[in-house]
Amino acid sequence: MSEVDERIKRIEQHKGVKGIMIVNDQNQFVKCTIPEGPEAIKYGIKLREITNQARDLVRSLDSTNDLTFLRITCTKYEMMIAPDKDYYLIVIQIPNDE
Amino acid sequence: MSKRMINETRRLPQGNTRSKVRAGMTNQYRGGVTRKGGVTSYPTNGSRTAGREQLGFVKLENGKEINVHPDSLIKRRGTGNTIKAEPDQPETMADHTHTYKDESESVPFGKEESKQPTESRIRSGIESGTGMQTSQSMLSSMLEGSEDEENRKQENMKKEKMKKKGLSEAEKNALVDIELTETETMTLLFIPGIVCSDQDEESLKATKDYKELLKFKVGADSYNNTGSQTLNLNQKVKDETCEEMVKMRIENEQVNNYEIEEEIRKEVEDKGAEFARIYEKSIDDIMNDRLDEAKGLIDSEELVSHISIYSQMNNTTSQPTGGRSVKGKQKTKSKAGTTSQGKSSKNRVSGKEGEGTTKSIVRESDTKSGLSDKLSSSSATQNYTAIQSKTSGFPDSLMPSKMEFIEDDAMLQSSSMLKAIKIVERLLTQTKYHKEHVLYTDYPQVELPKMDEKKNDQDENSGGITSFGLGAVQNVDSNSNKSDSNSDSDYKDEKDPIRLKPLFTFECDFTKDMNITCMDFNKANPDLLAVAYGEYDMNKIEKKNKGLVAFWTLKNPNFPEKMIKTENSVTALAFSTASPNLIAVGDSAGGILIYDCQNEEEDILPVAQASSGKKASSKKKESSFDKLTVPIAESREIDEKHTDIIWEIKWVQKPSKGEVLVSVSGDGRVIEWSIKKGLEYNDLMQLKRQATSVQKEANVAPAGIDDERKPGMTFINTGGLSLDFPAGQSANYFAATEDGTINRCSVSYSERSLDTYTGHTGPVYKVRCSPFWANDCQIFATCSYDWTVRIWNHKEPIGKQEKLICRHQYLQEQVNDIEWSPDTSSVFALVADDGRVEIWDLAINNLEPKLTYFDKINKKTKSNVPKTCVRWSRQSPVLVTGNVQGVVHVYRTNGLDHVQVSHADQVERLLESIKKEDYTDESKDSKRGGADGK
Repeated sequence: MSEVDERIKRIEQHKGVKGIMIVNDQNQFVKCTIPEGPEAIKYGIKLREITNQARDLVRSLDSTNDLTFLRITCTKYEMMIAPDKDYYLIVIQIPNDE
Repeated sequence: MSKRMINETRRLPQGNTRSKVRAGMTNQYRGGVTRKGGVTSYPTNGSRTAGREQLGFVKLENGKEINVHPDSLIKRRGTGNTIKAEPDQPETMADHTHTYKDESESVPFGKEESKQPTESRIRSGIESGTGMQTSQSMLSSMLEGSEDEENRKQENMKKEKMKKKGLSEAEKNALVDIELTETETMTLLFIPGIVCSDQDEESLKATKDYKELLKFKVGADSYNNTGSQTLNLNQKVKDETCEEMVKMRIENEQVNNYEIEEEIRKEVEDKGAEFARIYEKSIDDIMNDRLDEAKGLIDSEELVSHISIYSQMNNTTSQPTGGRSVKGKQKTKSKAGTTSQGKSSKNRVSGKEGEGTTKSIVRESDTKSGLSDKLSSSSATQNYTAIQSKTSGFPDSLMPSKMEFIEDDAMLQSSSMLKAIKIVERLLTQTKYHKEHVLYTDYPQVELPKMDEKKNDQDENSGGITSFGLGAVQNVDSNSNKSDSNSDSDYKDEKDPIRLKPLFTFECDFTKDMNITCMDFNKANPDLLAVAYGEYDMNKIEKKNKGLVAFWTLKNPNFPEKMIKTENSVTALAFSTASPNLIAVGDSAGGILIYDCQNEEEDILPVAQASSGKKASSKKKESSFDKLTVPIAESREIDEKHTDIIWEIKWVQKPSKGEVLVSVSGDGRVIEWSIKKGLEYNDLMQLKRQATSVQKEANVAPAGIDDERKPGMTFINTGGLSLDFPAGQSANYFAATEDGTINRCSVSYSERSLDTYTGHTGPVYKVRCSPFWANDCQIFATCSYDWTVRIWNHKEPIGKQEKLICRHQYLQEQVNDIEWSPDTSSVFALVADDGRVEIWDLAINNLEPKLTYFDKINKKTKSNVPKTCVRWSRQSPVLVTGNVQGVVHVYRTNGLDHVQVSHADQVERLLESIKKEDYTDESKDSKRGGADGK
């Protein structure tokens, strides 16, 4: 088991973590801990899209800049996206979930 | 001359006709007339206005003439109203028209022609025609003068009309046809635009000439190279030169980067669709082949798994673009399908999953058919992704209904992925523990009062955090649990109660049930806590001899930032002050290991790298969890290394030598290690057993160094358990032994100790000098197996150095660790084997601890897991403890906050509290009946 796998497992066990997803550019899921279904797809694809747009924004403001992390805090969830060239690591957290 | 004129006139109608034809306005009727050339064909017989005028004209001007040439008649017919035109003008105009016509024949001037208004053309045509006709008719009549019957008739008619003297009713009411014909276009002024390109030779030459000219002028006085505003001449309208028109469509749409990207991606999707089609085809082929077989069996699972994947694409699959190539591909597909069929059936027997076989088909067909252009190079997995990528970039309505998974181990294991995961993990922690972090760092927060209330409530409800007030102690009965809660509720109004609020527990699977032996905060990063895990018990060590050093930060309480695995149990560790990245570890086998906590090896290590650079570079460190971490220096190969458990390690800053490491071991030796050239050792001291045994010492009072010097005593080595250097000093140190004595030794004098302090009746686990060490305040504290903590003042005369015995009456377990507070001179914390944490403030009360705290398993039950280690954070109001189960508890201390005071004030405070003790100590002595043998 590699370090990445281990860390993913740990994140998964983290309290309040709803799910981890790794989506690539083609909307394919490399990893997904949310039960399969339309919800997971929505999260994966929509968040990927908004991340793309956020990156677009960052890069249009300064072309030498790049997006490294995107965090969306809302009333129910925290959505964290770490984008890279090839993939998007998405973690959904419910902060107040005890 | 007349001949020429006639010719002219003849030519003119021709031109007229031609121009009419060109203009598309030729009147059939008129044409007919022209051809016939006779007046007789006139339908109205002069009843028309034009005809009448014409007649009138004839009568007025040419009344005498009888014979009119048909030509002239024709002319005359349409020209009645321009009778006054002079002969000269028409002639020139005609000439002009003529020449112009020639021009127009050679050079198409479509534009010019169309530009001229039709009206003017008509008029000019009429004018020119009229002039010519008039002059011609006059001439012809003059020359020919012959009579004609028709003319005569006309004359008669005219005469009749004259008789009538006016127009008849019929004439008045008759319809009159007015024909407007288009004539030759005439250009009055024509200046063609001069357009020349930049590459034109002339212009190039002009430019060149000008430059040449400038060369000569450069040196001249009058030459000045400046820009100037030149007069803007009126600009001439330029002929347009236009390239071939490109058809463009204008769509009002804004395009962003990602839209462009999507467009590009769509192309890929189309490719994917093609793959999907090929894929389906291959499946169909398999199906067909199977069906064709006599005993063909269809492995339904094999196919269903694929059909389901692509069924959704059936609707959207785009049409094939190149029929021929597709055909060819299909052909090869089917071939591939058949060839692989046998294989797949074999696979079926062997129970291989259907997916794999189908995949192999694609791969096979790929390689065999050598799909044209880009597709040929793609592997089976790429096919796979291409097919799936079809679904990307769709709006919600087209959101794929099925999740698609790929396996991309390379991507999963990439370092960037690891980094991303690390970030996410930290953020998760941050969200989760934000409140605790704020408390940890003592950051003033707005919600603090609110939280305090909450905390109070919690405390009351749970009765958990025990707070002993001054008066509380008197009420405490043997039934401590109950009274604890009572006292807590009774004295909650007490001002500034000391409280501990648990913030985090550092624990993970790796550290579970491992005894915490030592902890140390990093000197540079005060939030980084290194925790040593290991076993003291030799029997247990054999079972699991793996040691562990975990580096915890508050950034993630659930998993250490880094771990160091060692061969033997780790029993001691210390961070270097001079180079905070170095950590020294002592293990149960007597080995000293020095690790560099930095991940990046290329980073320069200030001390160790210079010395043991060879070692560090040759041994590559491994960060993997399962492998032992290789230290940058270790004492294994040194024969004179410790032979027993290393109980304590200290980094000491020496004025001359730099930073050295001093270790004390169970074999009784104190060794100074230099890391300048690898590990070099230097024996500082061999701790000796005291002349009197512990039991004897307890009986014989006063125990002192004199006993040691008694002749004839057998000198037996004793194990050292702890050592400490006073703050800022490197010459003398204190070493605690398992005999229950504390020795003050000098680093330069290894024969015997300078002073020996006796008093403890059990092994002294820890000796700690006060952080506010001064010449007049040389106070240190010890904790022991004998349930006590003792405070000593080195300055006092021998025999009176033991100043204070801190022992709570309910503390009936060995005290495992003690640590002075770095902030307040009179405060220290201790942990005991029954799991208690006590905080003492000698200045307030040197009889009882300010606080006794137990971890709670649940609201009512206390946890009695022995705690082995206690540390104060240097920066934060935080206390950490470690227990035998491998759990590090982090507490926020409340009520210990105080104003910053000078060092001298601190010293005074400590001395004051000790002085006070002189009095209480006596009372204590009397109470206890001289238990400590004074």
